[in-house]
Amino acid sequence: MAELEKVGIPTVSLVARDFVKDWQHSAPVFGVKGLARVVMPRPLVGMHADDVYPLADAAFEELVTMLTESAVTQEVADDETVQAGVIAIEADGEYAALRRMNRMFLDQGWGDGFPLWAPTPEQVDEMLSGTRRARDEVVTVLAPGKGQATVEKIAINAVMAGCQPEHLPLLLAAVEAMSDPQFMMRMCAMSTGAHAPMMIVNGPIAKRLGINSGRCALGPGAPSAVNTVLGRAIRLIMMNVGHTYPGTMDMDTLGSPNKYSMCLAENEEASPWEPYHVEKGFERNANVVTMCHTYAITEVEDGTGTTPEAVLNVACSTASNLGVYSVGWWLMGRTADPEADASALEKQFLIVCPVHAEVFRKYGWSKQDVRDYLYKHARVPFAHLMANKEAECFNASHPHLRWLWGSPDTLMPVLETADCFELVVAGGLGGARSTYSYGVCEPVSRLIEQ
Amino acid sequence: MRLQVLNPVAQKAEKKKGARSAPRLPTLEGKRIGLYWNLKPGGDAALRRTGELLAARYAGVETKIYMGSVGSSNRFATREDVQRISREVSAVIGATAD
Repeated sequence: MAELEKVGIPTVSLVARDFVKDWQHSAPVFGVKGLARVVMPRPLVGMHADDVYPLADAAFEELVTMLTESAVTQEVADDETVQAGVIAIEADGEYAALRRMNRMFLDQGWGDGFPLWAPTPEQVDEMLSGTRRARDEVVTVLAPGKGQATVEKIAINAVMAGCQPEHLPLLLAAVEAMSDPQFMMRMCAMSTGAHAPMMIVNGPIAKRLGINSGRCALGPGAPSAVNTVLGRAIRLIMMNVGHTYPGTMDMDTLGSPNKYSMCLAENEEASPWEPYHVEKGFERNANVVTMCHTYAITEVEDGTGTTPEAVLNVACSTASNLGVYSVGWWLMGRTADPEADASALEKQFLIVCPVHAEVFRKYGWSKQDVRDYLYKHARVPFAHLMANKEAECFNASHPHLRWLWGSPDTLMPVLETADCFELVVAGGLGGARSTYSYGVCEPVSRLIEQ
Repeated sequence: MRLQVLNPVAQKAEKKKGARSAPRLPTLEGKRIGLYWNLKPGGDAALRRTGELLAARYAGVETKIYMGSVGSSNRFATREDVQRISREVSAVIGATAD
């Protein structure tokens, strides 16, 4: 709508009440002062057409007014975010000051709900000692809010999260990865789904920094303390640098604990295969961070299966969960950002536990063997896959597959290609519990500054 | 005591305030109105009904549906899409279903 207004085409949109704030904040981000809208009492998703029609009837008069009256009066007030570079907090004592800072930051929406470390100038200077990059260097303009991600702003949020200076290069690389068009940050950050960024670390840096790749790698607890603060920093950066605030741009329906922090290192010693980053073309000794989105993770438990097929049959069942948006989503067409000339496959991760990795090692299965098996066997009848998907979208995206409407029992792969199944090894020895991460779009990997 | 901390919020890359909205139409009679649907369920029904109401009220009004190929919930419209729409219609009504 913003782009159309800019070229002189008047628009008006039907916007659900709960999305008005997001609507108002998005307009200036996308280059217009305000956008005409008619407020609907509720979202239209999940409504039968017969129930939508009365709402459209009720909105019609105002809609006509919005298209024909003089200038749009729903212009957004300027964002009054505190612009001061340095914020002074007065209190009786250090602890009181810290509490007041936390209260203030929460009131502004700048925190994740957990207590924050104070980003004093001294702490930020110390954080910046972890990189050779200049503090005012703009690493990227971070979607969706198009905030200038300077090294300093990233460092400030890293301090707040509890990170140390040696973590900063990893975070800088992670932010670069998240700004890659392939990552589709804007779509995922603004979604009504629970997209959470997951960080996967490869290379010697993992051990050097103490990033857990084994038991409880995804937390909680002391063994994954570094994992926790790294993942937390990513969330704070998304909020304060990318302006992805709950209810304003982040329109997640319920939220997810995954969004607080998700970070793990690959358990390269336990893997029967080349490490993930080597598979992606990096040198074995390179330090690499991979960022990916995840809707949710779930267990792939199989303590009785002793063959690759037995283990993967359980994984296939897990991968076929229709409740997850990205399962079968490829039938709707690829997520795309044509301006950036980018389109993304829907990729998902099987995080293989060491016990299951050993099964693959014993039988000599390669990563491709695993992928091929998952692609061949994680299949759902077409009619079931389409049960929660828009038929018109499928017809527009895959006109050559319309014959499937006449053969609804045809088994369809849950992901578009075998290569959409990504594999890493992580976790502790003992539990026969791999983990399946329902991903969105594609993971992006970046070298970490040495 | 005074605790000084640095602001964690990034400045927006775009400093300018944003374009003004396009002028409104004097009338919808005889106009071609675009109905833009981002393929989220429910939005199509609202637009379909709106199209019917427009046709019933305004003489000579036409509607044109835009969906999928010009953008959707998972595909952003290109500049070419926007230019083409602007050549084809006089105004656009949008529904995202949320």
